[in-house]
Amino acid sequence: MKTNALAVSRRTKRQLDSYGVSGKIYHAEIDPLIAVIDLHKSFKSLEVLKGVDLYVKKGDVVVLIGPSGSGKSTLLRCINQLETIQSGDVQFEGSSIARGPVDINQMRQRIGMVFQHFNLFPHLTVLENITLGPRKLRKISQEQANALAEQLLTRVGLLDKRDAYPNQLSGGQKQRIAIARALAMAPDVMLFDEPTSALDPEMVGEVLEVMKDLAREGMTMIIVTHEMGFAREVANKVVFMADGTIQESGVPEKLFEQPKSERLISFLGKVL
Amino acid sequence: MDINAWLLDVGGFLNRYSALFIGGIRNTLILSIISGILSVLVGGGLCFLRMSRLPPLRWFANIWIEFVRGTPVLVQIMMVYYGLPLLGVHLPVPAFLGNTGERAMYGILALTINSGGYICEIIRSGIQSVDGGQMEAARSLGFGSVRSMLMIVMPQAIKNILPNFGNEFANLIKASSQVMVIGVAELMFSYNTISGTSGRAFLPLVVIALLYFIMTFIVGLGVRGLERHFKKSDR
Repeated sequence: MKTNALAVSRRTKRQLDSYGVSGKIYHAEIDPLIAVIDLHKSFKSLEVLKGVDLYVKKGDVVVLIGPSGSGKSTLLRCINQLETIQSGDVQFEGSSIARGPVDINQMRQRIGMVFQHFNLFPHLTVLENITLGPRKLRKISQEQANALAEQLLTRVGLLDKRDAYPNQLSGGQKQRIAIARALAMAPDVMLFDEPTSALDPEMVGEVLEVMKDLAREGMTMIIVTHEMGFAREVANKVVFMADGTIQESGVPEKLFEQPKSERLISFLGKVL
Repeated sequence: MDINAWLLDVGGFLNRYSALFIGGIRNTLILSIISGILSVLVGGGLCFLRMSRLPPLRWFANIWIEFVRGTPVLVQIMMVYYGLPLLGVHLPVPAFLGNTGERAMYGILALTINSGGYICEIIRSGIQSVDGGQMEAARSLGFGSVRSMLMIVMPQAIKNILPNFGNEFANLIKASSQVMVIGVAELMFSYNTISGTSGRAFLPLVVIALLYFIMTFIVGLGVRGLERHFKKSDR
């Protein structure tokens, strides 16, 4: 009850803020959905993230680009705490996920994640993959969950696969199901960890289409990808990472047309 | 030797000692089945300790497993039999184990300690055979670690675990022959009685070997059946 009330009040506050009536002007840098603050992450003695700051406000589509090993995926995985961090903080709606008394399982329900290798549950059908979370975590009935799943399957264009098992699907189909599975939890933000990197080239398009639809509908998204065309078209903020730090960030036009740092110029020279 | 005379001789031998053989099989099966069931429980618990976040629990499980793997079953059986009374431990004896029940209980305990260690390793490797992304996907949906394990990882791990349980059970049946040293009247123990009274050294061994083979062969059939079953559901 208490958390519900809190969520409602927070939402109302945000609404008021966005109308500018609560006295405080809504400001992305002050009131972001997700805030990553001076994040440091090491694997053993290897420091992968060396002080990263990132603010994502509601409705943002942030694309992380950069050479491999630059820490993009690690940053994404730190946001929903699949990796524990050494110092700094990750905040969701102003409350710390990384440290502090929040229930991480509750938080993760609101942060959808899509993996490079799909990670569908092979022992469950497509429908069961999608309904498992809503039924067990959001406690909605089997019928409602099925209806929700069918609606999501229609949205990703795979309703005819509802009773198939994951290993009967192509890579592109698996990834679209994985997106539907994450969406079924009605998350506030979606994280995409190189969603098209494991796909055959002819299947990349169908997955990107689904993601474009999501972006158009106003979903907050943080995407690690090597698809520069997609980044340019969909992102409202592109972040270039190298050597565990953010080197440069901004709107795609600026970042792609007028790159400032040497690293970004040479990176774009290689990938474009 | 005349083949007819030989057959008559063997037939007579089997007839005379069949009760002893059957009694031996009965006790071997009782030992194996009880310690088999217990070792699955113990092995599961041990596996839980082994993957625990608390180092002392992990150490306990690791020491157990290394001891079981690094010492002969015979030594383990004798250590339990002679060691526990020194510690003042007395095991409860169910009536169906007969008048050598207390010895049988020590045997069951030793076999459970041994087999539990191996079962733990089987469960652990079964869990590790499941791609780590499965746990991550379940956790990122919002499931806790226990529910992720039970609903997502275990149903996949069980395919690798169950056939190996069968193999371990066959091993257990064979290992149970060694509890004869503490005087449990199982199948191998009956050899002493039979060879002593019949004056034959080899013939009872052949019969006993055949009986063990039949038992483990049946278990093996079950294992292959399980493997086929899981292969089918993979398609």
